Amino acid sequence: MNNLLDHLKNKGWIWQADFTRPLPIAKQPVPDDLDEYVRGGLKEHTLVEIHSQIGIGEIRLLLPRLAANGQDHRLLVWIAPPHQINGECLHQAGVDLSRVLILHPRDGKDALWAAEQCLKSGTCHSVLLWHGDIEVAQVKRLQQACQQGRAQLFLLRTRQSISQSLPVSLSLQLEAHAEGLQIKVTKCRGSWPPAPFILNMRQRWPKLCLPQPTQPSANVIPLHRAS
Amino acid sequence: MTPLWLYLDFPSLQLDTLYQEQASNPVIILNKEHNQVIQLNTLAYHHGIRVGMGLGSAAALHRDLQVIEYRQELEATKLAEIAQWLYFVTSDIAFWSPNGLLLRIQHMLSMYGGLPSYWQALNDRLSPLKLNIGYACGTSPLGARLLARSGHNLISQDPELLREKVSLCALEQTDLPQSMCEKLARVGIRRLKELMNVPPGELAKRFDSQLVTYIGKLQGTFHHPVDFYHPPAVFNQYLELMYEIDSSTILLQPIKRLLSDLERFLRLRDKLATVLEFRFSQRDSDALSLTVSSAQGEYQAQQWQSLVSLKLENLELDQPVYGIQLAVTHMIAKEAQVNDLFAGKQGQMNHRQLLSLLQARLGTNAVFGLQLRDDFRPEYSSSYCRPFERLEKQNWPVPTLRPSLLLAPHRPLNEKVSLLQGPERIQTGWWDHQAIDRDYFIARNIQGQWLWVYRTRDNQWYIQGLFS
Repeated sequence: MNNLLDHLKNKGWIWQADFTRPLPIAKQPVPDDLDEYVRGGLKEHTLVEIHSQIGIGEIRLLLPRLAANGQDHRLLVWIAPPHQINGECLHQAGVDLSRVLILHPRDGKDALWAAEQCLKSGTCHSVLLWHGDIEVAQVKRLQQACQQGRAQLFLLRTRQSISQSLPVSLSLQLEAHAEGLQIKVTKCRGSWPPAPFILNMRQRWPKLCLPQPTQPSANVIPLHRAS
Repeated sequence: MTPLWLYLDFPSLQLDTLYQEQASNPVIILNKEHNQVIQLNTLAYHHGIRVGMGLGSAAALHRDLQVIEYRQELEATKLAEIAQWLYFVTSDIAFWSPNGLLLRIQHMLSMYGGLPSYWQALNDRLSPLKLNIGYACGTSPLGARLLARSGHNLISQDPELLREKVSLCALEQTDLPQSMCEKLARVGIRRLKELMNVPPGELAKRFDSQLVTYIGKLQGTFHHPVDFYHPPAVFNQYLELMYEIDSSTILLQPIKRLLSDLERFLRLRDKLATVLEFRFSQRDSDALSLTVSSAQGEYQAQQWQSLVSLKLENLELDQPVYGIQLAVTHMIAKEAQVNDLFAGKQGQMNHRQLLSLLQARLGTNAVFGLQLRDDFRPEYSSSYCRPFERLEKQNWPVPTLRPSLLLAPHRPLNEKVSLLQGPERIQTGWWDHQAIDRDYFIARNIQGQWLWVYRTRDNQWYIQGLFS
């Protein structure tokens, strides 16, 4: 009898219930660095606008979020980045490089079109778009595309282009800071924007923080010269 | 299984292709070489014009007679179309030039459950074509042809009946040359019956081999080789426009028709097309070609249409277009797409469809993927590649902290920075003449930007990356 069962099992004609793949359980939301400052953190906002100078840590702020979003094996799309994207950095952050697309459209119009297509296709988890001037109506379209495709859009803009208030769900202004980033939330849908705060990135990026100023040690007792 | 053949004769094929509706004038198709009327419409028949008349007598019978030259290639194209159309319901089809189709039907009968229902299916298929048809069954190809062309319109699988009908046919109705018929008439043979009753040996003694072969084939005792039709393996269709089009957006309408034909073609073969080649014939200049590609392969007209319309937006027409040709030479087998039922809705597209869409509008050289390479030189360790080139996950450790953005070309360092980490010496690449010898540092400038800078052996400083 046992032989027969083994035979059938080897042939793959019967299977046991414990061999089946477990059903995917609703994913535990990955916590966010911004959770404690902004209601919902980065993950709850579909369209996030970031005003920042290049090179102060704006992508590093997003990397944990992008890696977490990528758990569903959808695509991560970078549209019109200002410089070449380094795969090693993404790989270090846990992003699956085979699921990365980088687009260099000819002009801003094509970039917006590409962003919309990627967002609404349902095959991308996040889109990073560098775009200088974008209008209210265009943002509304992108917002709809995000909802249609369950995707998140990060709109990166230089600080000079702050001109009008766009209908985004979260708008951040980043400034360089010795400990990481100084963040001013100018808009946060669903709540009052919190006061400007400093995001400490020392734990994630210890090498990219200024060395802490040496505190005077408590063990050293200053000697006062007796007068 | 006794062989059974069905012959379909199209006596007025060219006329039928030209006119779908009733013409108001009598029309004849004239064979110029023989100066003979070979096809005519009913109106011409009512005016007394008959097949075989010369142009002179036909023209004398009606002054508004419309004369069209006979073109065999037109009939051949039409015949191929009919064969393709009938291939949906019957398998063994052979052409009989210039205007007949021979079907081997004994194998089809068991599928359709008998001759009447088979004929019903075939007739349903033929009737929308609105063609003038003569048809008959036969136990041999020649027998079926003979009965069909002599207007029997007989559907039967009774061999005795078919044989009897054939034997009653006059010799003039057969494919035998006129001279031989006359010769036979002189010895008193006017019907096939008189030849078919003679044993083959006797026949061979008295008459030449051509007649013996014909009678043998007619009775089915001699083998009659037949080449059966195979549907074309590639899609190639030309559409002549009724009017000239000079705007590329209007071109989409006729293209839709081609695409829906393509969809049917691909669906029947369970294939996907990856590249469509369009050729637009222009009035005064060379044909314009347009290539539309889809990375994952596609068969649905709807999907192709959206890709084509993107391409058409960028197309400049200098001359009006009067014809469109669509050719598809590369087809791939359809692969099953695995979607996890429990993972919820997957969106309307898969990632290759999205890629085709992006490449169609932005161009193939604007869309990249990203891959790691086994190299210590930062210029080479990460590179742009064709999208989705490698699908396996690359799993090697990255040596140490690397910037997220790389500058290409490297920028000379012209500002005051404070070096915070480093040096990290990278000295490699001697094997391919791109050797580097650099000390890398992580630096921060006054604006708070984190830079990845290096110093060369001759103390030149450059910025290579940004820890963005």
